[in-house]
Amino acid sequence: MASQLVRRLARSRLDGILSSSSPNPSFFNRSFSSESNLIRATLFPGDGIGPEIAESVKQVFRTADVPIEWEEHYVGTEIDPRTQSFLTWESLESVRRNKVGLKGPMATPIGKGHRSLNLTLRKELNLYANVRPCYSLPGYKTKYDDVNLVTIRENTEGEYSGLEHQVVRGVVESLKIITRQASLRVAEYAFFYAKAHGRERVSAIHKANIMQKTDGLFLKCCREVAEKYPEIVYEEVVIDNCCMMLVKNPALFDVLVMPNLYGDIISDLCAGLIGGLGLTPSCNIGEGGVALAEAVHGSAPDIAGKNLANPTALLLSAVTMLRHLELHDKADRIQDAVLKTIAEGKYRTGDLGGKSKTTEFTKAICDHI
Amino acid sequence: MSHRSFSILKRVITHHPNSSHLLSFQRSVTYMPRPGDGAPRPVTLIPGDGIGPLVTGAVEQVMEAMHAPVHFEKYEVHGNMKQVPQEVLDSIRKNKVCLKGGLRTPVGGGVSSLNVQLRKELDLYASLVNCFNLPGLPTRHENVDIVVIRENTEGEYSGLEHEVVPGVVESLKVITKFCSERIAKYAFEYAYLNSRKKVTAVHKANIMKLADGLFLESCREVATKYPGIKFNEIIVDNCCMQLVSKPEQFDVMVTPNLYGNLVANTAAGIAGGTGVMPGGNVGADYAVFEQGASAGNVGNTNLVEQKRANPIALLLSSAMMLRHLQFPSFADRLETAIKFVIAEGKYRTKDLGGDSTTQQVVDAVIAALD
Repeated sequence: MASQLVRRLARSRLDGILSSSSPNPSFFNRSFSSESNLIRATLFPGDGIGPEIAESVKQVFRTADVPIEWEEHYVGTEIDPRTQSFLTWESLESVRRNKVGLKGPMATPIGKGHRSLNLTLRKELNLYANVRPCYSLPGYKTKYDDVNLVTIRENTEGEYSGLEHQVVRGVVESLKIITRQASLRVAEYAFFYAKAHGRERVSAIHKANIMQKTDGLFLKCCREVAEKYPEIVYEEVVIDNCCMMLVKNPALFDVLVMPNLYGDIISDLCAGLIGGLGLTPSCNIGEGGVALAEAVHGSAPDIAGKNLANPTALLLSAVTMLRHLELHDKADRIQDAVLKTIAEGKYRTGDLGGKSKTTEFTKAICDHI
Repeated sequence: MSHRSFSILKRVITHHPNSSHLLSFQRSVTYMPRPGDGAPRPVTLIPGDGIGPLVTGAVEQVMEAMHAPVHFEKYEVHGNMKQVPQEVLDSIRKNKVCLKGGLRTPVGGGVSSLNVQLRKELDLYASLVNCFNLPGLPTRHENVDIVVIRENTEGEYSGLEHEVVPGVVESLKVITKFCSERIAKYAFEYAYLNSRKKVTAVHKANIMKLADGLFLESCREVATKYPGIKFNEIIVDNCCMQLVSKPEQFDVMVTPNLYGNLVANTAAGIAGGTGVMPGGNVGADYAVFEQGASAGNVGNTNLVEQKRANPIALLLSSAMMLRHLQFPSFADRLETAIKFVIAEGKYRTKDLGGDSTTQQVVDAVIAALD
């Protein structure tokens, strides 16, 4: 296990040396097509309510004239031996080629002998950062009205390495791995994101007073990257302080960058602050500038096919995808339309307390564009 | 038990802030001590760092004013010491009860946390935080009454880290059946003795299948022995989401070490802040009382200089300590006085929305003691 890590590290060091030592990070190693050409993007509608909300997204994008051409891929019915899961090699190749994708909710089929779908995507596409912008939706009242923060979570290592074993009967050990390479990668992305989106502060969340070497290494990497961005304020917050401050006064935070486990908990906490997973956008960033936006809620099989689903999460995730593609004006227009529709309150789906159907909600958004 | 009916009576009567004096004349259940129980008990006191000396000083003043049968043996311990001094440990072993302020652990400084060391040495395996809405204190969430019971000795805080190769660090999270079982037993026993209805186990067993799976198994086994108490399980990220939207669904929560830290601080935050939540650490032989949730228990230099730290958490913890020492009437008097001061709203420190100093709050509590 340690030798695998050493090999991975050595390989990446070699890649780093061979590729340019340019100041631009690798998120931009791709040519963006101009407005006149269409950008190809992979779309995984997913299961349950997935196809309906994907249809909503396509409709909204058509109305807004977004220059994106969708390549739809579905989860297969048998295990593809090349990927050891229900996702086919073609689907993954498509995302690798297009560098941009949108994923609906996928239900992992129960059984053995294959990897979970999310794990497959994460490992094959090397998705190392999960970005969730959380902002209070005007018009949908929760107990917190002034949330405007972004959580960036390291997605490959940490406590979720999956390396556990039973030492003797009744004693289990679980390994938490932190590497310099992964921490630097996510810290670089966090600061790059903060700069690109005009954010002023980046806070690193840690528990380095207890886990001194692991979280200490994470903090050291964040500090190194912080020095390269002197215009962005950098601070370090212990996780228990962070939890308390988030529930008392979420306006104190701007961009949060953290290792895997804390990121999981804090990003779900922030989703709870703004109204739940049904409204939260999310985007996974991978090596080589791959961006896979996804809706983090479940596939809700009980309301599938009944035109009752809320497409907000997938729409806002699609907006983050557009921002990654630097189509900021289209992103702003769609986001404003969604927020205005929810704020008006006339067309709201069941989970927001209204009675509209998915299609009516979508149409209202299109009218607002 | 009489404690429960006392607190029920108190909650009914203290809706009227001026009626704290009525309680002493309406005591309907009496506690029968044994001869000699009134002799002053020695309690180890560790002021600690930062705001620690300020808030432990507050407790000393209030105990003095109440003529409570405790006397404190003070010991200086600071977070940057290599280990807890032997004399302090001996004192706690002799007295069995300790009250302490926060110890500041230097971040990344290579010194292991003295808080954790103390807990491991004395085998204080359960940490308890009681998060509840104080009457009169406005918060975003109502009907919060959560007790977080957290395993205190193993899990992610084992302190077993090493550098595999330069740039790759490993940290071991150890979960044993022995520790998981005893914390589950403590949680259910607590629920049983305090008439709580539900115990929720917090875990991440979908990802850490063996480690948290073992914890869950132990909880399930103990749950079968308490059929009158409901048991359910919740994944930690969903738990945090539910805490900020619907906290009234939780009653007693039992968690492994790290999740317990996060859940306790989140629950304390939603119920009014870590400055007011009492708690402590308990083991088979000893009990150490301190501010419940760990965030902010050392404070920052501003609070220390301006002497504006919130003493309520430590005062409520000292009331828990008095009850632990079997002085229930003193505990009740102290709690009534504190709740009166908070409900009145004139003397509140900055984290509760006021601007009083520590001393002002202490004087108000002493004045409210009947």
